[in-house]
Amino acid sequence: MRTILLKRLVGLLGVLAAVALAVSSIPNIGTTGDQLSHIRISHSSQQVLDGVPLAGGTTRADAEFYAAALRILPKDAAYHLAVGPGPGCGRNILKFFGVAYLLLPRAAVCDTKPAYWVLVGTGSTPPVGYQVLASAPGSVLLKRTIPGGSE
Amino acid sequence: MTILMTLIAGVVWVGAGRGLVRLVGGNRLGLSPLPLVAAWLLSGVAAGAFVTSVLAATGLPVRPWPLSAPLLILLAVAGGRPAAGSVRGRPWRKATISDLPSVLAAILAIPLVLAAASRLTTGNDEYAIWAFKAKVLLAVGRVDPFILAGDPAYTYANRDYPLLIPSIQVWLEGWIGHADDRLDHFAVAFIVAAGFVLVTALVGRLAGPLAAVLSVLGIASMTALATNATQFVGDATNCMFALVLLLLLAIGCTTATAEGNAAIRLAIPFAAGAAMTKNEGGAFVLALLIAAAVVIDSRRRRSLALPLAAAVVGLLPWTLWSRTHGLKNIFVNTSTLKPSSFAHNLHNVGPVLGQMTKYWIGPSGLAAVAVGAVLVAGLARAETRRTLLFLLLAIGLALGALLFTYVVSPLQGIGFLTSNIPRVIVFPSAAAWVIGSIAAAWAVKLLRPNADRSLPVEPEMTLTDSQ
Repeated sequence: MRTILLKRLVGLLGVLAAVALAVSSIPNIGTTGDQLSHIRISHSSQQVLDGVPLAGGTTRADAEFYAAALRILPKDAAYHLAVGPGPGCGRNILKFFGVAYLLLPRAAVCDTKPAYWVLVGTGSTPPVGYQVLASAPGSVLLKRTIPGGSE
Repeated sequence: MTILMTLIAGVVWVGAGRGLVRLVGGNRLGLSPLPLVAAWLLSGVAAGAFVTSVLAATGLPVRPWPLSAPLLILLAVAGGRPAAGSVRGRPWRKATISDLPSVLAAILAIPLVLAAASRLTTGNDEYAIWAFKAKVLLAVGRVDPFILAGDPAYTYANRDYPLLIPSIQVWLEGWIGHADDRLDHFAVAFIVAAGFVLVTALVGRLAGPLAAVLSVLGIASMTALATNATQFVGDATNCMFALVLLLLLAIGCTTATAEGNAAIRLAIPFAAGAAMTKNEGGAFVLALLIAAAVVIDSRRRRSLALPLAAAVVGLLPWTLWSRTHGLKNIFVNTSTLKPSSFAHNLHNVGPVLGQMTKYWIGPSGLAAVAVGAVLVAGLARAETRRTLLFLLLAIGLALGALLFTYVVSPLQGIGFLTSNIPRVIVFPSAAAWVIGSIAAAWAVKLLRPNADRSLPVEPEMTLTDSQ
């Protein structure tokens, strides 16, 4: 008799648990649906210009700059990339990876030896001995014109 | 043309998965048509990832042609033709009412797939970690040792991560012949959706339709999992591979029948898939297999060597390549595992646990209390004790693996944890929902007359895979 009662009790707990699980999850399904709908609407309108997504603060001028860089930089070239102020690769490491991704399979490097430089948001002026090949507000693609020259 | 090529790429994946499942003996589990195709797709993706890893590690071409596609087609052919007299052409006629939860899962996944298909590769982790490797492999056509190992500029791009997610982009864009961010996102979400369908079917197999419905509602309510699955990252995919593995091992370890053996065989591609998706995936596979080894009958313990071997073999090519090229796991390595380093980092336990608790995705409040009570009650019953012990031990070990990883990690701080924990916690959270659903459904069955005979729930062999 006690065993049967215990089973009934556990069974009722199971019913309670099932109801609790359902009740606590169903409202969140609506929230999930809203989030997914928001993602779909906000991302569907994003455009791609010459392979560059116009998103995350990337303007049409930026996209044109990257497209020019893709045309100019040899595919097997390594180039010096600096994003944001600071030494070496600059301080904006997240955007660094974004620019480096756009320009793949060209290898972005932090050292300044390569003939090609891409500077984005560094705030620095092009060093002597480098020619500007393409530019956009805040961005510049340079090529060394003096053999062995650097900063 | 893009749609046609995408369809061909998908069919080759499914065909290769079917071949793999049949070759390892997983087809004897007798899944219904919808989850069966889902199992084939996920297995095919895992097979494709392994082929890509081997080709990349050996410096051979990684695009679909001339090697990947022929190898996967060969795998599909090796799976054999449909048996004579098998049910062909109208497999849906074999579907039963117990398949409805899987259909519900598929319907609830539609908004996820649509949202993913709208996305471009603009997220930090997408372009810094996952699509990065795929783009290099595709553009160069094979591994580029300088970018993928030598260039210090990419130190924090987790280049040692396994290649399953990048292999998806390499495969699809290789077939269509051009970059397509939206297709890549669609594919990852579709794979997650297929995993969701399969998880639902396996929960139903283990504990009946009520558990399956509760599991569907729980997983569909996990906003963090859904939004993650719209991105080209590995966490949601890893979660689904690991959840399927968890449930297959639960069936396999507690059922000493042909069905149980088939479940462990079907676990082979899923163990490999989880391990090849993310480094955490490897930790989860190990946690689940240890839990399985504890609860399985000692005479059948040896059968777990197969999924373990699959995970190791899956990881081996890219791990060997990255280690021989000087890459190491930046979280868990010989430096961070030194006793002095470990002791120094012990103070991180509190903050890491705090973040894991903060970003835990349900159940909470009343649901947690009720589920906890039913779990305790379920453990008291001999019929379900072993399965629940396995599930709880597995989730405990998986959580322990995550805690350990983030405690010993040289990268610390709330900012770092906040950007990582919400993603990696999705598997344990989803597993908890699933376990709660199973325990609750088992408890409800006690209200039936002759409840003792109905536990742990009859398997429903709806379709023996003979296609």
